[in-house]
Amino acid sequence: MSLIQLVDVTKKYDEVTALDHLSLSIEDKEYVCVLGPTGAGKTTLLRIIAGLLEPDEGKIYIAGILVNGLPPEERNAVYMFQQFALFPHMNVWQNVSFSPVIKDYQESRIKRLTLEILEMVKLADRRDAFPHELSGGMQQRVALARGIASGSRILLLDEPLGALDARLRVDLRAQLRKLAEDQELTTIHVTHDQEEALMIADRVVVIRKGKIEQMGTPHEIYTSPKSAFIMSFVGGANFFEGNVIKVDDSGSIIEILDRQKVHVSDISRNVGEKVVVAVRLEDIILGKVDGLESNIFSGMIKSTMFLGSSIEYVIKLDNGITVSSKRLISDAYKSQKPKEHVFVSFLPEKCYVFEYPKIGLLKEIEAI
Amino acid sequence: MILRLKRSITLSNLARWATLCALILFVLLPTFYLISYVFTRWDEVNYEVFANPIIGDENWRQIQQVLFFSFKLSLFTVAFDLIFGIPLAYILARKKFRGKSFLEDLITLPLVIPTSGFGFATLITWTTATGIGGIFGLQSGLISLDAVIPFLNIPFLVFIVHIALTFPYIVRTIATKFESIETTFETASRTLGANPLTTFRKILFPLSISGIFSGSVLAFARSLGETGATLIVSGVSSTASIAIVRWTSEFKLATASFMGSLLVVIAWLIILPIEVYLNKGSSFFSVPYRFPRTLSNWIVKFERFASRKFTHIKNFVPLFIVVITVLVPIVVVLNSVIFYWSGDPYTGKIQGGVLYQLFGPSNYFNSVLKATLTSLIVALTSTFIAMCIAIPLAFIIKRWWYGGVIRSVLKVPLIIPTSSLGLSVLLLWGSNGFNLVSSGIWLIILTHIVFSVPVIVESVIAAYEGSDIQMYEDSARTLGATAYNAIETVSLPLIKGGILTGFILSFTHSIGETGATFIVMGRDVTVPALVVNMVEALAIPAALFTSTYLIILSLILLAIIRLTTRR
Amino acid sequence: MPEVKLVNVTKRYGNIVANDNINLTINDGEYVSVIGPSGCGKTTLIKNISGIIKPDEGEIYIAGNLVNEVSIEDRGIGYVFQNIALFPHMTVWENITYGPAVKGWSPEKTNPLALEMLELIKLSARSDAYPSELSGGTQQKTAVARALTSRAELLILDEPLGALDVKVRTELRYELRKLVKDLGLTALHITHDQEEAMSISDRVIVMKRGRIVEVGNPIDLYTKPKNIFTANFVGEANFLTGIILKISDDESLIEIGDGLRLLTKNGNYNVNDRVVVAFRPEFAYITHVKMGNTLSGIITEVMYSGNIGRVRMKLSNGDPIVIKMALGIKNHQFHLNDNITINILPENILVYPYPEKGLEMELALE
Repeated sequence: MSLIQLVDVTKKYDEVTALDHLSLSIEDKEYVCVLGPTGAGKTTLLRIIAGLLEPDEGKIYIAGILVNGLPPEERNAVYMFQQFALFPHMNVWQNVSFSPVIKDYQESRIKRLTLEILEMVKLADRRDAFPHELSGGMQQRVALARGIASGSRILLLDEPLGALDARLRVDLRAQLRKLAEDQELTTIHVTHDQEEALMIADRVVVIRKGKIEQMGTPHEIYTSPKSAFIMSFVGGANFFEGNVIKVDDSGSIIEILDRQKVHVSDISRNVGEKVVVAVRLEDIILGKVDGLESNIFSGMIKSTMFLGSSIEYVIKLDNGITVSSKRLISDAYKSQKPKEHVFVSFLPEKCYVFEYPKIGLLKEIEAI
Repeated sequence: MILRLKRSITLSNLARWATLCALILFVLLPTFYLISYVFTRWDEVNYEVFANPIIGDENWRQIQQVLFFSFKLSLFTVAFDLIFGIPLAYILARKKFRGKSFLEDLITLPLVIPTSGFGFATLITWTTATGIGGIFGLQSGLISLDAVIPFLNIPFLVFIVHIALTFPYIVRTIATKFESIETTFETASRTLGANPLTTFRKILFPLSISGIFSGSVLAFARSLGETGATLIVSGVSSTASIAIVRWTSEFKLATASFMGSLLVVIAWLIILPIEVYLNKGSSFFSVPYRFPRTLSNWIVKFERFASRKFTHIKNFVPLFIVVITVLVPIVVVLNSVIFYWSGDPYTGKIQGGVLYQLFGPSNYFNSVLKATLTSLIVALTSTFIAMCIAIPLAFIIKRWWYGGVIRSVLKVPLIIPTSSLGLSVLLLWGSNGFNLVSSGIWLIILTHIVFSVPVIVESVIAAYEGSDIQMYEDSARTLGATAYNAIETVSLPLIKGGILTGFILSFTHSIGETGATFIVMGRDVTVPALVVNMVEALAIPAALFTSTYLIILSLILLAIIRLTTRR
Repeated sequence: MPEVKLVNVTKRYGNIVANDNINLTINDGEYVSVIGPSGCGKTTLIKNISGIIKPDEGEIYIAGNLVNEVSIEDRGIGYVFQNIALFPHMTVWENITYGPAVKGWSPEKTNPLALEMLELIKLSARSDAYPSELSGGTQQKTAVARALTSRAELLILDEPLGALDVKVRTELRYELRKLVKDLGLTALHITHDQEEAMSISDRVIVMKRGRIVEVGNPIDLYTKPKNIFTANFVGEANFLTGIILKISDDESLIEIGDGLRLLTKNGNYNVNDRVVVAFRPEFAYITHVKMGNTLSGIITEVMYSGNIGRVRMKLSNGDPIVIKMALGIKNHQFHLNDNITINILPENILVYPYPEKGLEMELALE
């Protein structure tokens, strides 16, 4: 049986529906990332599990027990705020031992437990410091330590890395994951950073407008996205709209709007259907691929963008469409310069085909 | 588990209802009783005010005259406060300079200083040779008691006292509002080419209009209700508040309560639209106003010029006003005590000295001691009871949907004139109402609770909003603390500063309150009331001593506020 | 011609030196980013330039004029804030025309400019909306337009994308750079996100504790950082300590413990010097031949981010290292505790003298 179970949970704020009949099960010791744009309902979901908010409808079970109406302190789920919410009037030691003291453990047990956890997060020598004297990364560790000391088996993290510098985030996310694993915690981690989610989650739940758009392992989400939105939000892609003009066993042919043909392996669509074709940035190959006869276009490099470990090329095709291609810097053997003429190709099996979204392609994938 | 849960919910419900009942009984009921009294005793009111067999409607004409004067005085006071208070608030909120905390203290001083003592200090400063007159080598005061400001037709001293006592409300409220507005708006405006004055007019002013209104409301109400200092400096003129004191002491309760009700109702009619507008949620001034372009260009040019040339004037004038209305009277009164210590410095008679009056046949020292004891008991008891109501109330206000309503209702005691307040408490608890308490120390305590509760609630709420209490408490709850635990271990320590400030503000307010106390005290005289009595008995040196004593007491309390809130 | 020049600029807050003797020139038309950890003094730097604060020492020139005593509104800069700071009581149109309005420009002059800006940010249809009705990304675009309507040629961006979702952030980067380049502006952009800085700028300035540590174009900064702090701050890297064993004609051999050796291009070092060796995770290739510049170890952790695999391994000398590769080109399968061998080309290995305060201090990000 799942450790946490949400059944048909709905929450409305005035006119806005933050959660819309959402159901979700989370297994014991699982690390789940809830991913979605601002306003998708991620924080609402987390607060409802913690008991800081009551849903308008639906049921929440923790360890098989219905917890609707149960106050947060009875739920054994620790909530960690983006700003860490360390008690400003208590030092590190008092913060970390907050829960053991509240729960009236024996003096000696409180001491042992607190010290052990402080050593684990490497902050035993800062035990007398007050939160404002610590750097952002240290504050985050104290907040984690405080959560672990409470003995809760469930860790609810609301953008736990959001308040930190970008470079530091990369280092800390692996640590966060390891800590949760070592402590055998069940973790729900809310973020809008798809890279973070893909990197550390056992399972990613993508939500949008209060509904689950897709859930699965990071690999599933990345390699088999269910919609253009997921494709765009997780990983990003080049999108073309077009009509299916031929389907047979070897694949389909899609005519994109300016009468160019794209061959795809997908055969699930019907002739005449309006569709969206999507190709990942890393699947756009600069140059011609041996043996490939279709899906080759010529164009000119419009700009290159250096991202550190990778390089992104923006190519304007002769047919007017703009595509982007991305390579690890170490794989970009020959670096291309703007204005250079190139061929662009992609394999039919790397093309994703989606039903044309009702709200229009741009609305579906726009992030701004 | 469920059982425990149910019990704790019942307990917290019980506590909530108890708090709300106490609020209604102690704080809200008196005011409404005052108004209902007028209706239930309409015959009596009609007889005394409109159809008195001897003087006819003379009382009605007096009421009209006094009301007109009071409102005129309050409106001009607020206008004057705004003109000079806004620049001062801006300086306090945005500038860093040496002596800023001293300036803040100086502006706060009239909030904690006993009004009768302060009124007396002002009187001495302006109308006697010991004050400013002496500095210029005059044998008399700089001006006489009945000097009137031309055009406005308001007695000069009354105006000065009202400005000094209302200035802190305007400056503090507006400065807090300014501080809550991020400086990036102003920086953005500056980088877009607007000079500081244009930036103020187009950005900061519209964004802080709600703070300017609420500051004005507080100052207006304070001025309308001011009794203690006005009693001393008013001379022959009379404000509505003073009239109420006079009629009450003449046992013309019907006239007094009619007047009190009128004051409350009219004040509300003026304030209510502003409150409704502010609560509507539009936090900024959205009424579009546009000048023709040539005019607006001319204004911008002027502002550009003024930003450069007039900064010093803008900084200096408000400071000058604070110094002249607050600091000088206090210095003068301290100085005069020494001057009058052993005898009247002008006639040389020891009967005119502080020592003789205190320990001589009239034995004022004994009265001072007795009054101090009364004052302390009143202040401690009323503040304590008020805190028991106010702290839970602050939490209720922040957490329940009807909190906003309670918070608005709590403004009633803040803007009701103190003399009306005293009268309403007297009517409610005295022989005309519940008939439970008669004039004396208990009635004073009941009166002081009425204004102490809102004062404490406001400081607790300010502290509550200042730190993100809800987040810390949520955090504690998920860490296993019960609602009660979380309040005890996290919320209360975090708002400790606010509670202390509330305590001290309420305590000092109680120590210094004159208007309402005067009406309900009976024979239990408090220190500020004693000052009024002394002035009326023309025992000037004794009044000097008692005022000094009160002022020093308040200064000590102010120092404690500083120490506890700074940290 | 808004060239910006700082000469010996110092600013102190109490005992803290926020800007310590900064010398810097930003050329006309250049897009420059400043990066560094929180508290490195980057915000103080742009406050000095924009006139929000005055430096304690030093001179600031904009377009050749000394501006130390010039007030904010006369410096002719456009400023974009992290918290966006659109005036909440004004519509998009009123916000965008605020600058011209307070400068007293005629509507004939203002309106075409404002319309052009609205067109550029594709917001013409929403000019009557209030800021609160717009999404975060759109708000920030409006703020950029506002900063530019009164024809500012120097644009200062203070963490302009910091308050936005990651996805929005990456999309706005392109638009921001394009806008700046199309209008021929000079831009100074502050961020703590090294990827953002590298992708958007012509030149990146790295700051640490009030000083400029390194200045360079993004690719050089990433592939040939001149010091350990930069190497670590602009992207992930593996740092190992070692001793120079042998120096030949153009290569040096470095021993990194337990007999593990790496060949590198020559630097200014002598045999027996203690050094730090660094390489980026993506410059290590998995190989099956233990020849050339190879290291072997066991896999301790595997993570995937989309098509990128990130493998943590433990060398036989106990040092952990991370390698990164694109999946799908060669499909690797990784299993915990597998033994793998990686190859790093000598030219991709960076060598630094061992820092006086120890390696850990040098790598601290806070």
